[in-house]
Amino acid sequence: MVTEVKRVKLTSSEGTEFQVDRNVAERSVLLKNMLDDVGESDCAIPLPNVTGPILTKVIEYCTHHKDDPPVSHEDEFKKGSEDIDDWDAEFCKVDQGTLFELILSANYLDIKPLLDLTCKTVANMIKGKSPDEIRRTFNIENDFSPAEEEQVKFENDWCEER
Amino acid sequence: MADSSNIKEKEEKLANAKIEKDKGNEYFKAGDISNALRQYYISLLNLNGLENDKSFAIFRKEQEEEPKKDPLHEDITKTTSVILSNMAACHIKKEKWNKAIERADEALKKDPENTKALFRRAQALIKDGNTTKAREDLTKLTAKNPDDGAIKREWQSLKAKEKEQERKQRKELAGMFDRMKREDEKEERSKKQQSIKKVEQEQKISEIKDDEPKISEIRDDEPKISEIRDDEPKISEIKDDEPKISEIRDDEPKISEIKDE
Amino acid sequence: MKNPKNALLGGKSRFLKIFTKVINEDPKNRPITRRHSIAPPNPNPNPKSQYSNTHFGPNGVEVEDEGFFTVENLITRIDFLINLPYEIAAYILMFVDFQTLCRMARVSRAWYCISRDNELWHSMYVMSEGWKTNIPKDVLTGDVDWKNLFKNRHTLATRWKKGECEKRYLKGHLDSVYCIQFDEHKIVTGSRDKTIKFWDINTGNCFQTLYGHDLSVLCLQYNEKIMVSGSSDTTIIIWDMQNYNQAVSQIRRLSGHSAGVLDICFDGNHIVSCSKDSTIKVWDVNTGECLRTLVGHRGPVNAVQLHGNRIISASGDALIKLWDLEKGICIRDFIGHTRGLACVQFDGKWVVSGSNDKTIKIWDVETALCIRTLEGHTDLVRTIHFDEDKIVSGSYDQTVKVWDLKTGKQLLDFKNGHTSWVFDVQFSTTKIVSTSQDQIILVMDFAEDLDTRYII
Repeated sequence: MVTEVKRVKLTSSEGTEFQVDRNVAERSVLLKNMLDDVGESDCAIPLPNVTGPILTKVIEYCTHHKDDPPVSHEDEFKKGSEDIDDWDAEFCKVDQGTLFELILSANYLDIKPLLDLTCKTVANMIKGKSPDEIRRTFNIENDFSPAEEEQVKFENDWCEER
Repeated sequence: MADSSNIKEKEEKLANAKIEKDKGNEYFKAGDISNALRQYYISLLNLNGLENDKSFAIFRKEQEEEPKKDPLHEDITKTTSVILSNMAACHIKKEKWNKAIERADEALKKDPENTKALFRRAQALIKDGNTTKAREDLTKLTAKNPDDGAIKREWQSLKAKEKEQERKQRKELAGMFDRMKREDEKEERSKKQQSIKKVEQEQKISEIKDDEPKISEIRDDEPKISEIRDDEPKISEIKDDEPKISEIRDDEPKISEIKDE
Repeated sequence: MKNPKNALLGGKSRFLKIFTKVINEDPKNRPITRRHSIAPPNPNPNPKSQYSNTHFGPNGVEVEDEGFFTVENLITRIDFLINLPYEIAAYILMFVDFQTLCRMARVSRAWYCISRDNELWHSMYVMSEGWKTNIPKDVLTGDVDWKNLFKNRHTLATRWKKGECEKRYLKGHLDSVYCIQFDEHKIVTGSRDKTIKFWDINTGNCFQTLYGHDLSVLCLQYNEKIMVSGSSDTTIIIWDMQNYNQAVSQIRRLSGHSAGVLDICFDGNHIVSCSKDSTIKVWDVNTGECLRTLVGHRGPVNAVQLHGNRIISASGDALIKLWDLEKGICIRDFIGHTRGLACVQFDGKWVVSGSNDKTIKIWDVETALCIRTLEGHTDLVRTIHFDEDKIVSGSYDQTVKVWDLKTGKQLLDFKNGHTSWVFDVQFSTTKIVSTSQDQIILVMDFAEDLDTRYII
């Protein structure tokens, strides 16, 4: 069972170097394309738009999911946002700032399952809430004029009919 | 939000990206395609994710304010497009036509005016044999630069490719004719067998025809059914059960009775 | 490489800045604690242990000090939708339901704008089960107002749920109205007054009356090219429908049955008719030739339907029979109704029947087993029509009822529509139309005031 594990070096925005197995790095389509195109090298791949803490989380995710089969986006939509397994749910129990950065990084590195997971997590924070609860959750200011507010409410009232 | 304080950071990353890109260009000129690609990737890693404030622009538009033209973002977008286009050039050198087309597509998505990306896509399309799309791209290119020698050369290679494809098709067609000829001969050889088969088929048809009398036989049986009907008390029971159906369906007398009621 | 210290400051992520801002703005200035000291001691994705197994850099431990702070009773709050790239914001919303999309429109101006994203509503519509559209080919899907379309479709569904509809009566027949078919333009009815009438479904005006049968018109079916009608006069008439607005002429009249033609059904090749004479006949739709006669029922055959190479028939003998169209043989009987059958419909998988025993039965066509019996009507179930979701039935008890096909539950009950026996019923996405012995055609419209141009 001793196979030679190929390691890839990654550098976070602060210059911290991380070493990961190639199959972990390849969860990122961007990195996979790069490794396929240029082969491996001893030089680290710089990721100037991912901070160390976030890269740590991303690697944690990719390591846990390194052997997952590919899933299409459409299947994800059909499954809905409630379908998150325990490990993933626990993984997403982070503050909003971290979650925000994770979304950007998943997009930046093109890691679709992580993008799906983090987007679902945000969707679940919005779902089932009243406008006021949403504002409190995300610290949003209500910038409607009273007239506008009335208009928007009228425009969207149909959804409340059951 | 964090928008304005980000500008310095973005400028710095853009500058880095340009440096890495230039290094890539050096490698490319020196013929070291792998290292050139690597530099382009690193350059992209600097730029990706810097154009993240699109939501704002869209909302401004909705609120009927003129979206400001942001020179920094424009520079980021254009540079990204150039890098992608250069990556396409690398893949053309490596004869990876699909990847070249993909990168050129991305480059054009970022900057539809990127003539080099369009040219490279045309090149890759010709090589890949997609002459229809290549023709579209070259037509656009010629409209922009009618006297460009490189474009004229690509027109020639497009025509050459088309001729080559035609030849191939003709060969394939010829091959098909050959096969058909051979089959014709086979057919003639097996004419006897064929005629036997035909006879068999005819027999089958006549068999089917022969079946039909059987149906009429069944029809002739019908009296028996009515006999059964008369015999079977159950049926008359059923009939008694559903007078209403026959009442409506056969409407006439009974319904008028009901109506009269 | 950059000077690490500079990189640390310059590369400070957005979240850290926002984070700092929140702390500074926190009026109560609550104490800052390390995340892991207040988090429940959950060993699952414990970062530290994970990292040490997964060969992270030597600086991995520092990471925890850097980024994972939190403030007690205060979480960092970020307006995700505004700060993320538009595509990602829209992508997040792919995972919410329409109600959330509507409610979030009221959060702020920016949220209002993003909540109206047309593509979002497009996929929301497409992913709704059973919601179909018939958008003409020359209309680009991007030009359709999907939120509005969704709203109308949703309102329509809600009205169906509640049974809210506008009732309209079409009067003109001089006797019982036995049969009906309609589409988005017209309603066609056959009556005991021997005529077939065409009605404009939007205005309710009768614009065409056909004379031809010598007695009651008991059944009819049409498509763009032809209409086939059956009568108590024992004949079947094939009509030319291609200019139905101007004139409808007779193409052919088929004779062969020895009693009234109770039901007919046709496809591109065959007409199948059933009669009070207990037989079913298969005709060539183009030549009018009678191809075969199916014998087996021991009572009048009240209903028949053609589906591919299969015929399903229901008779006063309390039996449903499945037949092979080409071979003309009976494949199996469906036994269960205790009295004569009045109607049957078949979609290839399910058979639904209505009987004088006052019940509706749902059968599996392959096993001929009765899956479910629907009870509720208090008299003979004279007509049924079903699709993949629901069954609509009409009865001698004068009511029209709607049932859930999957659960068998009664969903709606229209009691005061007719003043006599209900003879035929058909429904579409927007309407139920029924006919009765009371000579009236009842149109129940669930889409009043709604733009249903693209909804089918």
